[in-house]
Amino acid sequence: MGRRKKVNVDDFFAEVDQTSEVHTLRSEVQTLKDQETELRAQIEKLKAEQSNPEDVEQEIQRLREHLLESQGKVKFPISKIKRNENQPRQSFTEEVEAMKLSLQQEGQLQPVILFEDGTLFDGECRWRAAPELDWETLDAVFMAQLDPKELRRKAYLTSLHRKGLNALDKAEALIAIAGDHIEALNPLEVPKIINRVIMRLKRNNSALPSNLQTQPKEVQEKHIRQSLQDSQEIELFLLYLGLQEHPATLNRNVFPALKLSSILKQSVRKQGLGCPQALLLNRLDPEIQRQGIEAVLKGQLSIAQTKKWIKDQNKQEGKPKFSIVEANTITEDDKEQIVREATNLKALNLEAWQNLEVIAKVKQVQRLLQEIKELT
Amino acid sequence: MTRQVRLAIMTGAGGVGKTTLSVNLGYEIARRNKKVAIFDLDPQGSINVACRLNKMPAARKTTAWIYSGFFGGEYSLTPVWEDNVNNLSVFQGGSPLFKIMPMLAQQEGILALRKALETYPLKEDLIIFDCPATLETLPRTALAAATHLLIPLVPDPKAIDGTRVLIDWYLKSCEEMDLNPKPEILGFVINNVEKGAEHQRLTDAIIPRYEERGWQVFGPIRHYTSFVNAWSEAVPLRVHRTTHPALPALEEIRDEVIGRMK
Repeated sequence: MGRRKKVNVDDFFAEVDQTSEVHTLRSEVQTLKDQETELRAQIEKLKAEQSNPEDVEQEIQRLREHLLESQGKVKFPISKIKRNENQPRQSFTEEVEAMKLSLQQEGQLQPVILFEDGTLFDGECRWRAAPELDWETLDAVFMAQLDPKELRRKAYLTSLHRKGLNALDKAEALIAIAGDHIEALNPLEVPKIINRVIMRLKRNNSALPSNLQTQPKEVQEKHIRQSLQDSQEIELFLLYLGLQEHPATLNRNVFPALKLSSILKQSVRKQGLGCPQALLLNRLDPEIQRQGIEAVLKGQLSIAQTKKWIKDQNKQEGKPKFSIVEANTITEDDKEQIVREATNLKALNLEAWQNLEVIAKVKQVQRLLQEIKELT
Repeated sequence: MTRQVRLAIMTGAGGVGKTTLSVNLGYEIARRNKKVAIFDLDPQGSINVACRLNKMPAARKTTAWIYSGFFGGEYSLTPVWEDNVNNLSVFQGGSPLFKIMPMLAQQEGILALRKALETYPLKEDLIIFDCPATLETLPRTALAAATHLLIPLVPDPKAIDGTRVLIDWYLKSCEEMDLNPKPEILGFVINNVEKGAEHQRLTDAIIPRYEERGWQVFGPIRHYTSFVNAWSEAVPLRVHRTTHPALPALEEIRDEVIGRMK
């Protein structure tokens, strides 16, 4: 009898940290927004009072600096910038000419200030002058840029809300984050890298501890640096552990969602199809997938019910819709045989396995086993 | 000039010694010539037992009155343990609090306690809010009115997780009610620690983790049968036994609270 595992207090505290971080982030965002609102109010006031244009300009400059500092500037396509209909000034010819010259000679010195939807708040001259120079983008800062969506994304990182994310959104967010943070990493490679490393560790009998994501940073570092050598792999693993995601779990439950067909992805996103169900349907022909989506959504089928639906389809059609199914039933003998064969292989030493063809086959078996695990 | 401290004693799990802590801390601070009032915000009204008060006070005489909509500064403060101190009083809670709960559905109700204390200020140096162990509207009223929070817990998984939920609730509520500044978490009290290995292990595990996060931890205070005896006699722990081993931890909290009055 193994000893039962006792509660690990780090799990509780990891959640405490997440919560606190989200709240700190929220209040930081609020403070920034408050500052911004104040600056904007000041500008409105000065404009309304028809104050000295220099005072207004000075105040706009302060807002610009605040925005630059709080979020940084981006290159924004000029075609997407919209003129502010409330802009009182209508004639620009001279200023635009002057600005053209300035842009040509010195480049864009100040970013334009845009509302979230791309409407100009400040910088109409630059916006009018730039296309005449065949520029396609302008440096811009946004007001109220940290909108709820952005907050949600950030909240994900630290996240209270990640439980509400489906595997697909989660997978995409996570590979995007990896792309942001790790130089020279193609985000699309992330699932492969993770899978490769997890498999290697398993092979070497040095799988990562299951609760590593909730351990303190130093513990994570120590483990990862002991187990991995490649610096990119190390960086990637530490990044995810830092987000309190266990790479093995991601590999098993999250990243597979990226392989969904486009109609399944769409259905997950728009129609609320469950990811586990989508993964099951993913093995079927596209045509059958469509029917499957409809059946699952209509009948609100559970995972087990979805499996059954697929099985029923196979019966009806008379031929299996996914290649690994050869027969409709598995007997006790089948099970025995599989386990026996696997056990026989265990006796071979590791060297015997190091043959390209064998490796490829083994990989295939691993994948199939994984799939079987998910299906059963 | 001292500043009034309004200390909410809250927990995320029942049976962690909240009321014991409220009354004994109140007593310890009153002994230091500070004026202390304990507001019982618990419909259970446990303080009535701890201080042997009338168990069925009129609704008007309880903290429920604050939320009634008729409150005009009538704090019914009953002096307690007068043989030992003369500046400790209790504003009784109890079942009338059940009746006013529906009124707390609105923001106005949630802020009633805070408004009451602003409109009809009390001279007390310390007001302790003894909150029920559920995280709902009554503790929320206390959170809105408090300057500080004290969080007792027992080192068991239920209470540790309850405390995590409490912290989440605290942050969320402060944000929703736009409390600025937020009431400060004075600290956590590890209470009722039993001799068993698991209680010991968890105590050792949680203390540094709270401390790493910048929170103060008081205790650990062991579980003593004399707590029960003091309750039965309805006397403060110090009166029950002048050299009780739990007293140093109480004194530590006492000094911390008094420090906040300056």
